[in-house]
Order: sequence, then C-alpha cells, then structure tokens
Amino acid sequence: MNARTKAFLESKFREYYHNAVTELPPRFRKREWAFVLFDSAYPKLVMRRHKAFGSQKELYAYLGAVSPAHVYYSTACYAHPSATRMQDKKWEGADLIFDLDADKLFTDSVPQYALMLTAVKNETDKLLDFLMNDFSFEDADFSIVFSGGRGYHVHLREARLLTLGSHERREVVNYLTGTGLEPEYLIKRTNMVPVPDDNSCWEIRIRSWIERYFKRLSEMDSETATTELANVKAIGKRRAKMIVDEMSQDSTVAPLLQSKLMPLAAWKSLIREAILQIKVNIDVPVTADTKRLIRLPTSLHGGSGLRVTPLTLDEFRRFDPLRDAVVFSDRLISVKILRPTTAELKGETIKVQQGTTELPEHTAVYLMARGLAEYESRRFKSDQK
Amino acid sequence: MARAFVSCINETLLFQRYANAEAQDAYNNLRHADERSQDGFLLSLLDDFGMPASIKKNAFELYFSDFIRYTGRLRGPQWRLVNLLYRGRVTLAKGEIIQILAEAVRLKVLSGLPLKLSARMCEELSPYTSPLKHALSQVLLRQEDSGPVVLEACPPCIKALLMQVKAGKNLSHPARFALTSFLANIGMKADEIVLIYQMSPDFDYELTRYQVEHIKGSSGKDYTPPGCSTMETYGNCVESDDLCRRISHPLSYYRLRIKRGTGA
Repeated sequence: MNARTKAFLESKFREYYHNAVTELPPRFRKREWAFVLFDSAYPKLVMRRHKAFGSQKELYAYLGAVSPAHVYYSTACYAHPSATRMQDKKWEGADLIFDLDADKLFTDSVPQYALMLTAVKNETDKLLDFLMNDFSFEDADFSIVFSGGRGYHVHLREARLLTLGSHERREVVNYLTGTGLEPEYLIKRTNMVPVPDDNSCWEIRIRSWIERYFKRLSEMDSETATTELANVKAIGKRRAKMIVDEMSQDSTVAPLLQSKLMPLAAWKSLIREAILQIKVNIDVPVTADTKRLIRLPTSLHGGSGLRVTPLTLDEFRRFDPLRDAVVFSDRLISVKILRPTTAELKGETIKVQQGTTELPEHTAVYLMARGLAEYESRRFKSDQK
Repeated sequence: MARAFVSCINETLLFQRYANAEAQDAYNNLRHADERSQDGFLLSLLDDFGMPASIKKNAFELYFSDFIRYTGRLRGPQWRLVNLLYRGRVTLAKGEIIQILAEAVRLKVLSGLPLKLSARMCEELSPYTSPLKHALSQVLLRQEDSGPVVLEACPPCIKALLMQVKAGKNLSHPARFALTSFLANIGMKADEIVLIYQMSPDFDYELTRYQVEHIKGSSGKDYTPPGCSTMETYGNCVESDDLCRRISHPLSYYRLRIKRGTGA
C-alpha cells in the first residue's frame, strides 16, 4: 500500500468519523482502547494500546483527529485501564464474547468472500439458538456485531457472567462445541434406550437430530435409504435393509429402540455424527480470554472499509453485510488494480483486471483496504491534466 | 489460629493444603448434618455464597454460571455443563450440592490467605511454626528434585505432540505452549527443548530459544503447563488411557508414572 493510498483511505475514514454517531460500550471509561493507524508501518499492524477516555467527547475528538484504520476496546473493565502493565490495571470483570470467523469454517479451501459470509452467518445463527434455547438468554441480553471482516461477534454483559474466569468460560465453550460429550455416557444415563434422554438440552438436540435422520430415511425409497444407512459405522448392508423394512411400517424411532436391530456401536456412531452436525464452530481462545481487545461496533474495519455493524436480532436476520455494512458512496474513483479480482458490494458484481480503472468509491475503498488496488485519482481520467 | 500459622509460614503449597482440609471438614459436617433441617440450611448456605438455588422434586437447581464457577476442579462427566445444562440451569442431587459448597469453602479460604499479620506476631508464633516450616521445606525440596527426564513416562497427549513435532508438523500455539511448558516442568533444559523443535518446518533458532526461555521462567514468571480440561478444549487431549481418567493434570500423570517406576 503506497503513501497516497494510505492518505486517501485515512481521509475517507476521517470523513466517516466526523459524521458517524459512534456507539460506546457500557462503562467505557473503565476500558482499555487500542488503535492501528494508517502510519508508515501500515498495513503491518502496529497497535497503540493502553489508552483510556474520560468522556465520549474525548473519544470522538481522538477518532476525528487520527482517523484510525482499526479501533478496539477491551472486553475487560479495569480500575486503571491506561496502566501499561497488565497486572497494574486491576481487572474487574469482562464481557463474555463469542467470535465466529469464516477462517475457522474453511480449513481446506477458501471460497469467495460472499459465500464465506453466508456460511459464517449460519454458524452465528446456530450460536444464537444455543444462547436463547439452552442458556435461556433473551435477545436483550446479547448484542450481535458484524466484524467488518469475515465474521460476527456476540457480546454478553449479564452481571453474573462478568467475573467468570478463563477456566469457567472454557466450560461454556466446551458446551457450544460439544466437547466432552461421550456417546457412552449419554447412553448409560438413560437405562434401556440407547439414545439420549431429555435431561439436558444437548440430549434433546441429539435425540431430535436422530429422529429427523430416520424421518428423512423413511421418506426415501427403500434402496436409497438402505445405502445411506449402510454408511453408518457398524451397521452393514444386510442389517441396513432389515432396519429400513422395519421403518417402512412405522416411521418413528420407537420400534428401532426396542427391536435391538441397531447394534450399540451403530447408535454411538450416529450420536457422534449428530454432535458434529449440531455443534457451533466458534473461535475458542477468544471466548476463554478475559482480557481480549475487540473491535468497536460502528467503527470501520481497515482491512475492508466495511462498517463494524451492531445488529439487533431482527436486523441480524435481514442483514446482508455486502449491502448493509457499506458506508461509502458510489461516486467514481480512479484506481490501479494490482491483481485481477472480483468484488460484490451493493448487489453489484464487479470483475476487474490489472491496470487503471474507475470504480464506485465503496468498491475502490474495499479493494484498496484489502491491498488489491492503489489510489490513482478522485477525478475522471478525462479531467486529469 | 491455624490460619495465622499458615499465614506466617507463607508458602502457596501450604495455603492450598490448608484450604483443602477446611473444605474436607465442611463436606463432612454437611454430610452428617441433621436430615430434617438440611435442605433449608443448604439453601441458605448457597445464598450466602452468592448462588441462590431452588428445590424442585427433591433436587437442587442452580444457575449455570454459579455451577461452573465451583466445578472446574471436579472431574468426571457428571460435572460437565454439556451433560447437565437445561434452559440456563443445572439440576443436582444433595450430595453434589454439598461437594459444590465444599469447593466454595475451599476457594473462599484460599482467597483469604495469607492474613495480614504483623512481623511481631509471626515472631511470637515462631516456636510453633518453625518445625512446620522445616517439614514443609523437605516436601518442597523433594518436589523440586524431579530426577532425570523420562519421556516414556509422559502422558499420551504430550507423547502425541512430540510425535507431531518429530514428524515435522507445525504445532498450534496452544499445543506448542503445552509441550514446552510441560517439558520445562519435568526438568528438561532449554537447549534440549529447542532441539526438539528443530524438526518444525518453521523452525527459527533464536525465536524458539526466546520462547522456550520465556516459558521456562527466565523473565521471572513460571508457567505451569495447561491442565487436562484446557488440553481437551483445544483438542489436544488425545488417546487418553486408564491413568488419564484418574488425574486432572498431565504433570500428575508423569509424577505417578515416575513414582510407580515408569513402565508402559
């Protein structure tokens, strides 16, 4: 990223911070703030940490003056947030944070940005279901934030959660990822019946997954169903056929449970599969960390130019980040494309080749922020001297 | 008085032992308390410790965050949130509630130690405390002298990490930290640990040496390797065997094996 591009991005960010109403976290005076500036080191991230602000006005003035590329605050509240040594800050508690990142969902191949965003939104939906159903939180108890990059953050600030230590937070993580669920234990707890009972929310989830699984099988023709079922470990083709025949008479799981047609090992592998399908893929260390820095909702993400967007549950359901997190205009900007790429902002797919071209400001900012383009000029080429 | 003794001796191990003993006492007393008044008494105790509970069908219901605050050290599937949570709450039998209360007592005692006592007072107590102090130093000495490093005696999770490094795989940050801090704690020298990482594709001698020394405590802070539950969370608890089921920390596994004369 050359100096002209940095200066352009900085000026666009400054414009944004001058007009935007920034949303502040509760007890913001007790939080540590950190910033990455469009300085000479950028895009290398050099974080300026240990800042604290006494008033909203002070923070606004700072944002307007330095127009940072990235803005973070601590999930923790401290007695002395600006102390430079962690042990001097005096930790008083921290929000419970969940981070869902598309990077964690795709380990082998990386699909297009839009697809990643869809996948990570589905994963966030799964998390919200866990929070509302299993943990009985209401939508007023959490805030959902699009990170401006490849994921979502969910913040919980219920008083009883704030002083949980790292170890306890990991127990919550383990819950969401199904870590420590053992088919053997689940089956043992429920006498006779080899599927989980309904003593815990996980048991109910697994049970209903298995019921849906057999319902789906019962709706297939018997040959397809047999092939599908034979894929489950420890069942085999012959037994699969017998089970499918049994099912065609009664599409519920009940007769299967009694009939002993399914061996224990098969139940176990079905339960394992259920856990894999149900669990939420969250970024573990983020939740376990009680001193994390997290992006300020309503700030801009310097790596995309998109807005870190706070969302209510309803807004989240309707949210399309590539439409709703875009803040810049569609005025044309001239840029030099460094590598051929595709951008899909505001419902418009723009394919660009190497060389100089004109793009709507939002797409130009997006490509520059991602390091795929350099700034040329604000004016049309024909206007240039 | 006991707390004053312990505070004057001022040794973390002793604080822990003392808190354990207080918790054990509380447990025994609660177990044998009068049946009729017990439920109400337990409820008021839970309230005092800031975890209001209710009774439903002869069982106690706790809010999940109160439950996890006091059960982190307790082993076994019956203490894991995954097996218990139902709509924000967990249901527990009386015996389990008593165990949780004992743990709350332990943490409360531990957080209150050492008492702030004047040097003069400790001086006056020294006829009583100095024999204790001497006995304790023997125990600590024995702990420190861990003998030669026996890789054979490492738990399966650590062996698996070693294998991965030897196979030239890059370890995740938590895995690298677990392996390094474990090896450092069983007495391996920084140089030897650095050599192990040589096989890593991203091996950088200076950087590795710096990290290893940092973990080994040359910066003044000693890192204890992560316990079993942490290893589990990060997916580093693998191939656990019978002995694993009886311990909650990889180091305990190693020490037990050493005590028993290693073997596989």
